Amino acid sequence: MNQKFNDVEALIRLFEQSNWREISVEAEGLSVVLSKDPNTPYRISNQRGAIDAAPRAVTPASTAAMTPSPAPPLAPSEAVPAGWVAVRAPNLGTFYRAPKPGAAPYVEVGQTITADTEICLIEVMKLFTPVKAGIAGRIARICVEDGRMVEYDAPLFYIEPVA
Amino acid sequence: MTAAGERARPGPQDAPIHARFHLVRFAEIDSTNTEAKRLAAERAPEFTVVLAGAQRAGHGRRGRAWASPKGNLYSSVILRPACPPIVGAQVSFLAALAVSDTARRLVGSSTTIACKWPNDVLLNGRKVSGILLESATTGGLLDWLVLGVGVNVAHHPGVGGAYPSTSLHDEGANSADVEQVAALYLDALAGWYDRWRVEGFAPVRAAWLARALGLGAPVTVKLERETPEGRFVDLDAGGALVLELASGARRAIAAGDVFFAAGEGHAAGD
Repeated sequence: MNQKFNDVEALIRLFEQSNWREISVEAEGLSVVLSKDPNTPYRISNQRGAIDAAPRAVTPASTAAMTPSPAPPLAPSEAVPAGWVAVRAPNLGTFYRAPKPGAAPYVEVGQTITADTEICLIEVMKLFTPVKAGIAGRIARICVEDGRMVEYDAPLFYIEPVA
Repeated sequence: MTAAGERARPGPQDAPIHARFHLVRFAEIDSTNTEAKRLAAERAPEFTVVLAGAQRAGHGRRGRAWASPKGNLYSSVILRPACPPIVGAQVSFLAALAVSDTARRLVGSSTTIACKWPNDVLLNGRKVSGILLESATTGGLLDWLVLGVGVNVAHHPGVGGAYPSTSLHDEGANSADVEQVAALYLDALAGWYDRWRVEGFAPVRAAWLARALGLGAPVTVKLERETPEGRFVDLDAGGALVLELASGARRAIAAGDVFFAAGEGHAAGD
């Protein structure tokens, strides 16, 4: 069991570092399903049922699954015009529009930005990571309020690319 | 490197610093984290360490000022674990364990050493260090991570914030000096970092939980827009604080400040 647990841990680490959205592995009576979709619960089971030592919340997805009140998008029903590109959260964390309280926001709607422009900050466990636009254009929509918790892959901004 | 920077040439009076670290020393600087971020962006190697005798603009989380007079440790280590930020954030716990190990070597056995989620270290309930991690990513993986650690060796700012502060000197380590603290801290950090890279978070989590402040105690979490209350029941396998709400539901807290009720300033172990 301990070796299997180590294997599962190794699998989870590989999964976290991959671009895969979901994987399912079955071997030697052990079944593991990992997903970065917060609506998909982690499942680790063997022939006797659930493994007691199974990590309850190893990854962003499982952490998100335990958090009942993620930030609602500012305008969930508003359609996204064709051509707009979403900038998504690189991980779960707190979304900040400014480098520190009282400072000017990184960007405002309508502002022209380059791919390297830093447009927000995400904090998780006191690690601060700036998010770059990744594409040149104009900030078309800001999807999340300052200080809200965001899930992995949640849209943070929409950018209208330059023609 | 700026003209003010100088590669370290440890003299005989210096405690040996773990050989893997590339030291960049300043008598005084605005902020070691700012300089380390600049060096990281210029492709300085992993384990480059910026050390300063004093900081003019030391800061902590969300721009809070960090008092930085001469006589304390101000350090920023460049790390390059090629992992997503949420995994890299576990370095918070490695740093807290390394500071805690350092304190254990220097203060008396009667001093209680506790780790407060995610990365504060308290001696007899008083804060002795500050830790701030900043990073940059490409394609969802960390390019670099700067681990800023300040340890109050000779001085501390006194009462302020939710926890009063202290220094190693005030906790009985009267002869501890900055070089000794730097050497002990970096040595402990190297050990925990290697263990984390090879074995993952599990041993780090176990060691941190054994020193955790307020495990099982009521806790209030201050988020930017809400302050959920509950009991601190666990650290999840990724490092989030697990809060058990009055309803029995569990909520994983990955960001925010945690506050324990008065009288809960004890460690689970250590």
